[in-house]
Amino acid sequence: MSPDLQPNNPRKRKLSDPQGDAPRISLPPSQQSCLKEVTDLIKLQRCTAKETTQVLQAVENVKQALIGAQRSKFASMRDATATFRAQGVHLSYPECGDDIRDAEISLYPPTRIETGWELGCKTLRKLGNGDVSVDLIVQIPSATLHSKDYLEYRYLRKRVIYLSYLLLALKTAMPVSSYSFSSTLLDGDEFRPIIHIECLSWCRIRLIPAISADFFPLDKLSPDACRADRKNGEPTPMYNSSIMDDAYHLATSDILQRHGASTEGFKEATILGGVWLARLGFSSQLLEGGFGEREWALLQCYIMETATNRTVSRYAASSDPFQMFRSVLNLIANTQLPTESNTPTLLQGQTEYNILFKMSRWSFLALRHHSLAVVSLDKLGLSLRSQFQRIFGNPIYQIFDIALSFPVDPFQVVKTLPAICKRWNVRHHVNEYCYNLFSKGLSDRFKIMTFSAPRPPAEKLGETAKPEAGSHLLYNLTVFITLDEKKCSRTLDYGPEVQDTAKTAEFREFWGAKAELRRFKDGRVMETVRWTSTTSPIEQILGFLYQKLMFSFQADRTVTFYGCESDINLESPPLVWPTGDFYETAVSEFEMISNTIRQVKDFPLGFRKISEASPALSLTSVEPPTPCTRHLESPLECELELESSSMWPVDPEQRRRCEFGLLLKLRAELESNENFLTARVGITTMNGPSNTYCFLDLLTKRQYYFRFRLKSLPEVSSGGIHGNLSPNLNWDTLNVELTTPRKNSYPRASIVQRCRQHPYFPPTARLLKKWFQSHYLASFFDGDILELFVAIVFSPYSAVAIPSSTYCGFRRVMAHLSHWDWRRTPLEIDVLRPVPDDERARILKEFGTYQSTNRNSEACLSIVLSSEGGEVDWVRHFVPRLVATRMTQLARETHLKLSDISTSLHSTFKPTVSFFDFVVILELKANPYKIQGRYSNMVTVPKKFGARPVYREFVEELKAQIDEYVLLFPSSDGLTIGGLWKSWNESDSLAAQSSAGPPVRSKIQNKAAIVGLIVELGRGLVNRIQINVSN
Amino acid sequence: MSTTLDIDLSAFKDLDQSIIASINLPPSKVAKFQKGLTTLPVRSNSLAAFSPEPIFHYLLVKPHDPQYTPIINANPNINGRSLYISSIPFDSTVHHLRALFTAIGGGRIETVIFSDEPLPPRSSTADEKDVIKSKKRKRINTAVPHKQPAETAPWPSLWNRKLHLPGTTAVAVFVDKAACDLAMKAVTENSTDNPNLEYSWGSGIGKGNAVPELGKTRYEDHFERMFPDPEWAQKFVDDSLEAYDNRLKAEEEERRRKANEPDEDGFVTVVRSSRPRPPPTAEEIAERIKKEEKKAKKGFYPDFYRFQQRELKKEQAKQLLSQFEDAKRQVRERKDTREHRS
Repeated sequence: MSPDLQPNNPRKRKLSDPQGDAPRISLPPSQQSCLKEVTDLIKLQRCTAKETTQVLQAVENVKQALIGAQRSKFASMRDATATFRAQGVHLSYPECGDDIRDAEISLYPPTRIETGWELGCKTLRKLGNGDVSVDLIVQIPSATLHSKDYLEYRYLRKRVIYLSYLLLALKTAMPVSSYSFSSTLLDGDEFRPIIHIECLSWCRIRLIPAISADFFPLDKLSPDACRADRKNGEPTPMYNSSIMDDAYHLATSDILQRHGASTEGFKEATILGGVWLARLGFSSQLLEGGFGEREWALLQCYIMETATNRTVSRYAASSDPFQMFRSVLNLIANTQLPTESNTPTLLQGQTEYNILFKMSRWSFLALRHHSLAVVSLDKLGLSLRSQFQRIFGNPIYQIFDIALSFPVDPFQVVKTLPAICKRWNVRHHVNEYCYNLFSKGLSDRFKIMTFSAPRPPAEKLGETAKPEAGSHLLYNLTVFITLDEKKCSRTLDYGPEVQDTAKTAEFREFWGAKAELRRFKDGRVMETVRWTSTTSPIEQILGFLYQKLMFSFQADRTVTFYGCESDINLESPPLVWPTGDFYETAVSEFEMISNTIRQVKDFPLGFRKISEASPALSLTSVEPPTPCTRHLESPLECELELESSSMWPVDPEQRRRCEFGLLLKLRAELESNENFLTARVGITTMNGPSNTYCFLDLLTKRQYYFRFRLKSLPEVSSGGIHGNLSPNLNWDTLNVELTTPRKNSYPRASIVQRCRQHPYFPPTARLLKKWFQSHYLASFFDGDILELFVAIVFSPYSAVAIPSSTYCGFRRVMAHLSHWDWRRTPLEIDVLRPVPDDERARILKEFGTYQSTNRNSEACLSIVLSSEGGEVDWVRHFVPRLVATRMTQLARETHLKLSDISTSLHSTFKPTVSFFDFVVILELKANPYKIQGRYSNMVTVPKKFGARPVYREFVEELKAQIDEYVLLFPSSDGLTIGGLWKSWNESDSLAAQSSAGPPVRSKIQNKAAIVGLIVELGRGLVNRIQINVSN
Repeated sequence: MSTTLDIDLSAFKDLDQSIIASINLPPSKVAKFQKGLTTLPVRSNSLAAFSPEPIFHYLLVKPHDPQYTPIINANPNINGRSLYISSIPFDSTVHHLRALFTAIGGGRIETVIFSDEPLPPRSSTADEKDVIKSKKRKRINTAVPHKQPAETAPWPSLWNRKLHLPGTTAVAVFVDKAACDLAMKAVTENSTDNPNLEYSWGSGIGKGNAVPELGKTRYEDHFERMFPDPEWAQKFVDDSLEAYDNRLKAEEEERRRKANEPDEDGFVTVVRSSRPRPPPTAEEIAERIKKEEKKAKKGFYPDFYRFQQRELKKEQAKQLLSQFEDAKRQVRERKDTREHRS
């Protein structure tokens, strides 16, 4: 074995390694990162060498222009401002009552000009819109400033004048046609304007003024010191930190450049961090969390310099980009928020510079929560490759469960804020104020809360100064909240005990009339707040908090909620029905029946299991199980499993007859029971007339209609691969599920069972089924398949939290479906256990083999289920290629629409029929969803079957008759059936051998005859047929 | 729960004369012969409510070649008097085809064999061997009794009228060869170049042969048929299972009988008895207990094999060694205590 490969062999120290003394841990091969995936991702993000060269050239031009600036001296700053304005240069800066306007000022060319570390290390990264941003840091000469200028905004005032001076030099020296200039704020900090130089149409150079680190006494700029508005005496942490940031800008840039050049994997890890942060919505901007790629890189430096620190990951000294990425996350996850301050603190080396000074309490807690979620993947025993895929392969960026958006008028808001906050960075302070209020009201119900406010627009230079423009305009603030699924639906909030007077008073002041004193069984008397259970407690709390917020802001504006359960359930008509009385009554009726059946005496065999098969009884049906009134509607399907016996006939036909006899015997026993209005045994056929099945129909006294079938013995699985359950129309659309004997139903059932423990699984499944129904796709997808689609987002092995609202669950399922390329990859569902790398490789190999050998003309949607026993089960669902493509296309459209939170959820459910060749419109009388009477105590027995079963039979027969020529899309509401003519080649290839002769067909599609067939077969049901004439 | 249509149908147009004309397939566009079959256009009235323009369904007809299908096994005497019809309408019945051939001047149909219906039981005739040379003969060779036994009695029909799936073909058996020839001639004459515009599919069926209506009423009838009378159902099950039990018993008896009789070569087939073993009697139990006691009394010999003797010796040596070690330890302890005291 090579000495390098031997374990415990210390690696050779590189001569350029600045941290040579830091311990380096050689990782075992199993923990080495997935280099290929990392390299691919980084390659996508990086600029090309050609682009970097172009940027370098542009930056060099700017540098030369700055160096060539002429010295200027002004008697007063007022003169300087007036002179610059006269020459068409003006940078707006809010007036702040500073008293140095008459002070003399001398302006010199920059002492030092440095490019940002990204360009220095040639790791330029493209932004989301494809643009590139480069920093150019210029050091203000010491002669321009005074050592006391850190007080009372003096430095900031001079900084603006110096920036104007640089801008004038640039405008004089550079061609205006190639370069355009605008003014904006450095990371949204209103204290520090900067200049944007746009060139090459895709490159943006940020001209950032900075000062020497030793010019001001930085120890006097601690966050608790008052350095601005000293008359008030209030600490000015943001002001102090801004000056300190300017002082350390060049120093930190040097450190980053040094590490970037010398440390292997440093640059790549920064890009990974930047991608991860951007996907979560974080950036260096003050309003976007205040933590971006630069701060990330500084944390990497921090880790490199403090590698022996115990709180840092054991991978600290690794040169692997992904390991380094995880180390930073580990560091964030282990950093605690100081109790006495709202600002997180992490000092750079031995300096006073706080890397996290731009972060708020909310952004830090959110970032730490995200980091913890990623770090915890390691504890779940996932391999690095698997972790990488879960972190960067997840298509969801916004994982909020509920959001609210409301307009904020800064002029009204500032009344409630401290003096320093009233003038500077108002939006930032409003976010903090709102966070304090909402977090107190929601207590432990939420996990993450983030805020989104629009950035102040960049100003064109030369415009007249508008002191309060931009940041003081009316704007919309959006609050994104990720909830705790177990606590968010709690209806009672506990406050302090009555003995604690101070806390009780505070509680009552906060909750007002909502606060109630309650005595509990254990004798304690506590302050409580009780929320009604009719609507979601979260919505009630947020409504209350918003009122409170508006009261404190002395405003009355409307709030818009996104992702409320009431939007889905209480609208008229509702998208899906809430889990309420209808479902609960049906479940209780089912339990009553199963108890009654178990009590039947003298039955030849015992009942091993009585289970529900209808989605309505597992709360996942779109339509609630309503009682029958005038007609018998589709029954609720259930299964009876008898104990095994050796006395069953071997002949399957005789076995069926035997089952028929057993059901007749059961009917005879139940007929006299007073809980049932009727008990009937019926016969039906499945997949052909030779396959006869029997069932027992029971109508309860509360008019719930159940159908019990005897469950057949499970068949032996053959290789774990099976196709669609039934080639027939899937009746989940009509709340009926055919119960055929299924292979490998166990893993599927256990996955769904596990997911149903999450309270938002059933409503999400209902909403997804509704989406498929709305787009005429439900007849092609089994109800179980759709539940498996939903199960993906309820995996405990995900880097993001389990959805805690129906809206969130639905959005995430849509995101997964829109990104799923069913031609190339199977859908992995790892609810029960994660899939190891070698197993995944086997899965992909098997998938590839199957796809290459599969000659089926239909698309195969492969779903892989990892079962608890260490095995993998395949579900292969065949649907017409057109249907699979349409599913992906619609999912993409919906995902895109929902990316904008202002999009109404209802709009994504609006059906479109324009792509059909014809539409069959059925009689309204036959509408199965015509409003039926709800619960009633009528004891009259409905005699006839309603329209729903008739519709079901008609569509099934129609499908069998014309499936060869037409692709049918029956609607869920029973009113329409869409149809698409199949291309001739397709129908020709479907020609089957006839037993009575050679397969001979008409070579031409006889469309008129097919339309005639629809009319004939649907006599009394079909109202009219509409033909698409747009083509 | 909306009862009104909330879909945008602006791109669609109601079915009318112009629309039907655009999708219609007139006989002039259909070839007279396709793969050796003659096309027979049959006018359909299904869209008559929307347009007076006739629409056609196209049947494909050719003389039936009995060697080609297994039908001949079940109907050995149809050779030369049957027509093979492909692409039949979904609602075809024997009455429809009879009326059709009567209308176009064909011969009289005796029966129609649809490919999706079970073949009638084979009637044995003297000259069948000369007629049939199909390999599948053996499969059908089992003697089927004319009367359906209760065991295999069919389930009640759930539909009042059977519809044919696409791909179903039919063999129309005419009364004689002349009628068949006449029918084929009529098909050729009424093909796509000279379609019969007078006759429409389904007309001309006699009143005595009323075919149940399609549509909603058919489905409602289906739901009624799904629930048979409980008394009838009970009898159906009882008869069926009883017949099944009787057959099993008879087969068992036959098997046992054969077990005691030598066959033609003089051999007796050895048959394992399927009868469960009777429970042990008191004597048998007592004998078994006695045997077990005797075995227990006898015990086992630990030094029967050589390896047992070797292991025994090893054990003894081990014991001696441990006793020696114990003795040594005790002596050492006593010495220590003595020294301590002194």
